[in-house]
Amino acid sequence: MASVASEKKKQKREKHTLSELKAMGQQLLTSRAHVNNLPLLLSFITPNSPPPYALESLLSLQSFFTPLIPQLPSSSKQPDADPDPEFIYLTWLRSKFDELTQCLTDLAVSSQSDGALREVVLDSIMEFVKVGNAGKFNTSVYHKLLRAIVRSELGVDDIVLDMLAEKYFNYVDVRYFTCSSFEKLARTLEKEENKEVSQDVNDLVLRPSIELSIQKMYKLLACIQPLKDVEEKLEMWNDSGISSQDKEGKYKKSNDNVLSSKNAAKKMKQKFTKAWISFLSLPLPLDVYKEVLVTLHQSVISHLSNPIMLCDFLTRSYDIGGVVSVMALSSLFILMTQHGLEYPNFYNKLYALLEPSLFMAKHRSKFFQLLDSCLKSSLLPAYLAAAFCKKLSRLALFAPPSGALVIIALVHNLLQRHPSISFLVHREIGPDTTADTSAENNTPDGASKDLFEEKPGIDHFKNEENDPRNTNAMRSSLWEIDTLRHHYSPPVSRFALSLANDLAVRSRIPEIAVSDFSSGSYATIFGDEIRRRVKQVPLAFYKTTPTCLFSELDFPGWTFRDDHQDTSAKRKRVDSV
Amino acid sequence: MAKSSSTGSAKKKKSKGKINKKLSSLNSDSKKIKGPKENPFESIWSRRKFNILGKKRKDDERRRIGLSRSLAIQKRQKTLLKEYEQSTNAKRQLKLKKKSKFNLSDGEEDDFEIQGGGYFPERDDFEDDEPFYGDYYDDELPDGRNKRQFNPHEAEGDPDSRSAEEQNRPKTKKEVMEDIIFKSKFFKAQKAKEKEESEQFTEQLDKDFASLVQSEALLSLTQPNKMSALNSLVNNRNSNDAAKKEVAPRMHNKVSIQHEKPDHYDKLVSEMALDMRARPSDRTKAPEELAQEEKERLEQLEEERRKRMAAGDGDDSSNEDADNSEDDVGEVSKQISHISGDDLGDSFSDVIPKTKAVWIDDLLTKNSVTDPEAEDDPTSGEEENDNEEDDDDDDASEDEEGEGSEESSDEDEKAQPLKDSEQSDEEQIDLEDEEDDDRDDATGKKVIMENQKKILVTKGNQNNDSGAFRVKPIVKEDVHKRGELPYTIEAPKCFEEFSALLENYSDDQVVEAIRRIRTYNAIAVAAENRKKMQVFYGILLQYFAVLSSTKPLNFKLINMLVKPLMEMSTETPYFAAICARQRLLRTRTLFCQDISNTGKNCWPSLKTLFHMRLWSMIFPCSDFRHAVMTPAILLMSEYLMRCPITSGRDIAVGSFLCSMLLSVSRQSQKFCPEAITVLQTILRAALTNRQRYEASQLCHLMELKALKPLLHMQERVEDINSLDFLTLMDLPDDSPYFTSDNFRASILCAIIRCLKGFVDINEGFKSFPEIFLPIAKILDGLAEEDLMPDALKVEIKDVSQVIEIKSEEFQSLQLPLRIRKQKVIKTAIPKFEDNFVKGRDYDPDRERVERKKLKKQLQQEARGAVRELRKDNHFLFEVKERDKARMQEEKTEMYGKYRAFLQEQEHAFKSGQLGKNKKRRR
Repeated sequence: MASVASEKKKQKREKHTLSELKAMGQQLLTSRAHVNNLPLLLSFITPNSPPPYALESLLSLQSFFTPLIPQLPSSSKQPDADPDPEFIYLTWLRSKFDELTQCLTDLAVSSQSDGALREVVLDSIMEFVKVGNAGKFNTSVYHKLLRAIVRSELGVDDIVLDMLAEKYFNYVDVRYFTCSSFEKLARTLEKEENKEVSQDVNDLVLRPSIELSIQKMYKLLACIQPLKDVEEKLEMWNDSGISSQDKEGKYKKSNDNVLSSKNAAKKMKQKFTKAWISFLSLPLPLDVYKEVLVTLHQSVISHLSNPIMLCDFLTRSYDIGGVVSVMALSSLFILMTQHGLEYPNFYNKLYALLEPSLFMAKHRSKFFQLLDSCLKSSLLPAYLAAAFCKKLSRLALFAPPSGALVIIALVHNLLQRHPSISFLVHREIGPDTTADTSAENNTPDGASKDLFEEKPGIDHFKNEENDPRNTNAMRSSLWEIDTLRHHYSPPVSRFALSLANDLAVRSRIPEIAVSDFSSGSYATIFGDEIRRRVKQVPLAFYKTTPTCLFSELDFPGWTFRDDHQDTSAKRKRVDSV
Repeated sequence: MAKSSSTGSAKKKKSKGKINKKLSSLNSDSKKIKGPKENPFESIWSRRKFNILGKKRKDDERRRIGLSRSLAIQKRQKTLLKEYEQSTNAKRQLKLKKKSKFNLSDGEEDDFEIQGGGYFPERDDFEDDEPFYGDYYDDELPDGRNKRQFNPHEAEGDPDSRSAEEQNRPKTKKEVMEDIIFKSKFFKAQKAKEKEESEQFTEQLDKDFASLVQSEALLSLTQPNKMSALNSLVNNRNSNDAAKKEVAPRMHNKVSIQHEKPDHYDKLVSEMALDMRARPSDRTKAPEELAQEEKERLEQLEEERRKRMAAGDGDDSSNEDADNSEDDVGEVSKQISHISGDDLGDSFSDVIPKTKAVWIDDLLTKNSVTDPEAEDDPTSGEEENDNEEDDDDDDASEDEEGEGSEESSDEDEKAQPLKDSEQSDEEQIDLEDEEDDDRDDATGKKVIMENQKKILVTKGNQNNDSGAFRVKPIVKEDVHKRGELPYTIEAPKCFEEFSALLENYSDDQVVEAIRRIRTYNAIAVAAENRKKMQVFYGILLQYFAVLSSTKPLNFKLINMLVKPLMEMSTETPYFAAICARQRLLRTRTLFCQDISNTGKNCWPSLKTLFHMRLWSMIFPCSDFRHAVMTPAILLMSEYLMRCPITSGRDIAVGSFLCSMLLSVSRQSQKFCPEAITVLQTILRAALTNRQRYEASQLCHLMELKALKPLLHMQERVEDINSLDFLTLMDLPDDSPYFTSDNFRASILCAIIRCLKGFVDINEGFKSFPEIFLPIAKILDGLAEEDLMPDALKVEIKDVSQVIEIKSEEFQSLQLPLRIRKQKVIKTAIPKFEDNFVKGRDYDPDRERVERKKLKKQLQQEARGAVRELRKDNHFLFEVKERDKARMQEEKTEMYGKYRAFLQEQEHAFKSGQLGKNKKRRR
């Protein structure tokens, strides 16, 4: 029977022209008698049908359903004992409506169909969402839409995502329900993933799809602007000119009380937080992870109801090490400073982050600034400050000039803030001073201390040690700063020299703003040099102007024979012979 | 009645005053004249009788106290006394004004007397005025006396003291006359003195001249060419002998010389005049003039060449022999040229700096050589060419000038349209840069290809030529396969023009063409050439770039371009720097683009490396900050830091960059962390995996650039030959050579040597052990390997030992930093100086010392001032006292007179002669 019907449909579709479709739509709208046109029209709304047909039928169906939607019973309602024909009709309509939304969602999500059509489809879905649930926000349709979008195979930069974010995300309720459905989605996604992991053998195939959906979720989530606390006017999608009373009613049916916009903001915040937390519990792919870490401290943390909830995620990321840690640091720093997070071994981990790769990392600027502010506290023990000083200056021996500049600034600040580590730059060799150092020294190994007194020239600093406590930085001296004075790059050597001069004076000198140097790179230093006005150009002096480009004396191990020349010389010799 | 009597008395007083004046002036004059003259105290020298230990002895300890005292008095007379007189004058005038307020003026007399400090009858009545009165006398009296006493003064020749005093007061007519007389006499005396001095001076001059004549400097000045040089040499020798003979007797009796000398001198002068007159043009030429001459020479050559072209080749063969012989002469004269050149004769040393002037000088001397050479027969040129080309590029190209096709020059000149000469430098650079990248490959290849196929092309060109000269060029072409260069070449204005110009020429000719362009458009000749040459410099730089990026690399030509480029940079250093900076900027932006495209090899190209090297040769590398070298070094370091090492070729380029950085930072001993890091990384690529793991444990710093064991030796290699840079750069990335053990051994050798260089220049750094010890560990690991060639092993061990020894040395000597300034702790223990010198301040506090010094100085000055004031007071007091005494004297005198008069009257009265006497008085 069904197959016959479908065949019929097919035939009809082939038969019907666009004008006929239009006529059918007109008929449908005029009277109930032509209600059988409905399934026919519905059949056109598939990704496979030609766009004009789909569009035409969509328009007719939309105008047919829009006035009817408030009357439709909820789909979950079971048919009563007494089958009121009107009710049966409405139930049938309801099922058709569900079918329509399903079709529309499919259409919107299918990547084959036309962009413009999908835009129209999205609009009509949102129209249904607006009034779909007895004049209230139809969460189930919207949830289905989002779910379809996320689970579909659409790319991250698909137009549907953009359109949704652009057009509808400035409505508070849309954002609100997006958050709530994302929360659910994230939970289910994880479950599904677990299922897939357990069931599927070919895990590798499915994995990318999850990554993709996570990426899409992130994209949408990042687009959600969290509410500001004191927002006067809330723009609602489902606001058909009703008073605020009803507006609030849309959030929760039970709650008919007057709720202030402040309350709404609070709720919004909660949902937002939940959405983010559940999202962050997903297994994020690395690129998303990095992006998340960047956006977290910029736009997310301040809008969470309870930022401390992020600390699990952040500490986990901070423990990963490498670039991720560097990036997590900024969010963690906000938590620690503004929300009273206590983090054990924070400095040890911070110390472990100091690696040469730091100077090539993308987010180094922020990191250096944070490092500077982390080391700002004057309550830091001397051994820690000394270890940081020493480690940083060791790094400077292998860092590019921009890194050396930052390090000099950081070391300068450290030395200015912590007078207790001034022995790094000034230490008298004698019986008096050793007593001082031993008093300051917390580390209990006395053997190496004796060694230090014996051989003050050896650097006892253990560069490879990850625990600043055991680095022996207290028995070292900042020879590296002196070495940097010979750096080939003029800004570095000059800065190192000025640091030494500053340190020579006992009076306190204002700290250097690390942000002035932290964003430096080869490009900035090179640019500075090139932008410098050329005042005078000295030239190299030669007693006799050299006639060849390379001399083998300057380049041991290389020769600069010219084959061309050789052969020509040979030829000449042959000629002359 | 009363009035008349008063005036009468006034007159009388005046006349009497004059007498008095004269009297007193006589006194004072005699005093003053005698005073300075024969004060025996002035001749006494005070001297120190004993040496006092610990007291510094000054040389000017000996002094004449008496003299200085009298000098001080003189000074006071000049200054203080004058002031004093002026002040008294002013007071008097003030009073006068008050007095004369109600008086009718007496006309001229009044004025005169005010000016002359005249005598006023009213003053008699005031006791206060007495000093003024006396003053007046004091001033006036000497003048009266002067008349009589002047002559003796003059005879004694002491006019200074007199004139000094005379300045102090206004002069009367007589005084003026006397002054004039005195002055004329004084000047006579002066003249006599001067004459004597000038005589002495001429004598001295004669002596000097005699010695000058003996020296060869004068000879060189007077002799521009050989023949006349001999002549004058002989002449001068003769005169020298005469002069020498003269010198000796001159020393003995001066008087006789004064008679003899003029004759001899005149003779000498006449001789000299004959010598000198002929050559006014033999001065040293300014560089501009030299350049101008050079340009003119080229123009002339070009003109001649054209003439020859028009006249045909009939007389070519006849000149051949003569030319060759003249060539020889030219060679000789070239050698001589240094001696007979323009130098002033004071630099006879053979070491002549190879400056541009000398270079042009050489050309000048060649001028005579090349002139005939230009008319050289083509067939004779060939042999010369082969012989001389090896000796000297210039010579060779000079020879080639004479040969080759002539039609190409014509074409070239036509092919130089005078385009927009207003093109600014910046535009030019931009253009270059654009052109550079677009056409570096295309044009460059074209140029080179055509260079190689020049025979074909020139043959093609000949078809276009006029029929008259067709035969000869073809013959020439067939024989020499070379094109002839025009002598005068305008500076090309764009790269196309330049490449068109050089299309058919050999490398040597290209260089010669550049030389000619430079000479013809030398900046020294005309100011507007600067712009042309700047444009040309840019073109040349572009040519350099094109050459270095063409595939069959013409390294010889590149090398030959180095010299002109360097020399031109010295002419326009600023422009050269700007060109270099623009190129650097361009290179860097390209590099940044490359590095953002992952997968693309972003190591510098041969062109970039050549440019870097060129700039490091043109500009000094040791400057703290240099407009070109600082960015260049930065860029090289950036290459090392940011380019990933993925293949053997990358290692080769990287290690070459390291050695370039080494050569750049060698002089200033700068610290290049990037180069050392890269060397370390590359060395680790030679270790086995196990060792690498250990090494990375040792220094986990290097995680950044962990490498595959690209350089790990697979088999034993016996010989290590140094790598040929150019062929290496030519090879593609995946060439099998880069994975051969031969390459590995060689590159390791190069790297070790480079590392050695860095160890040497960085040995002074305080972090030397920290920087190099990890590398030493890697080296030790390398030395343990079995497959390592023995020679390399030795070198590796050597370097690692050097590092270890130096580190140890360092660690034993090094002390912790002591940057803080020392604070001096107060101590109660007295400090003892070993060799204490009295009077020296041993206070360690510099500020206090300074303060003390200043205080002492202040005290000294204050004391000196007080002393001076006291002396001044004394002096004034003396003056006043003297005045007073004089007044007193006068008073008593007057008193005596009046008293005598009264007594006389009384006597007359008593003796009854009153009436008679009264009558007479009336």
